[in-house]
Amino acid sequence: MLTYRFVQEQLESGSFARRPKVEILLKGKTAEMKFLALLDSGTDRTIIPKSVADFLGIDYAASDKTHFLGFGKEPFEAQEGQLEVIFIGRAKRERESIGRIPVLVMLTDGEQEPVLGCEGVFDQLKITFIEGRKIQITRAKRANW
Amino acid sequence: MAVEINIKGHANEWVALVGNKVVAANRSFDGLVKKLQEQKLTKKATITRVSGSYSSLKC
Repeated sequence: MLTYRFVQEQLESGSFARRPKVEILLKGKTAEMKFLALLDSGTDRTIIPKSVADFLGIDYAASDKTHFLGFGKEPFEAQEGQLEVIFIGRAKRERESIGRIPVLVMLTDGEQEPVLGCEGVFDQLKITFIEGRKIQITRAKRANW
Repeated sequence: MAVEINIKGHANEWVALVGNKVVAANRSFDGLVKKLQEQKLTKKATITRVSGSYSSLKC
């Protein structure tokens, strides 16, 4: 089981916000890089900006450009690709790969950190948020629907 | 034990962290990668993006 603490961010106003961010390794065809990513069960798909997709070598150019609603009031333009996601635990060598998952590559400007959405993430893992302080992640057992 | 990272002054920037230290920061992701490549820290660093409103992280 992987355990993370919510990341506490001190706002310029002096107050604090706690956000469920986890350390992950993103692997594309040509490169890999570690990120702090937001876990968001309210987002259908994992989203990364184009600059990150280009660095990692993700194939998305052949997919159709589509408009999605999400961040802000305006729809954003995105294309689809795939990347490998590995969760990095706090202990040494503690890792959990969820393999290659579908990802939306955000083409609209306004770069933002990667967001881990439901597809390929929340359906493979049991993710428990504990009192806005801790996140526990284990492999999900296959349910018999 | 929580680690506190001071990221004041990096609003709207990509930031690269190694442990609790900011090792590089840049407005663009490509610029950040270039700085990391120069320091040979591309594989070691963890990347995050600082929104306009916060100044420290406690992980």
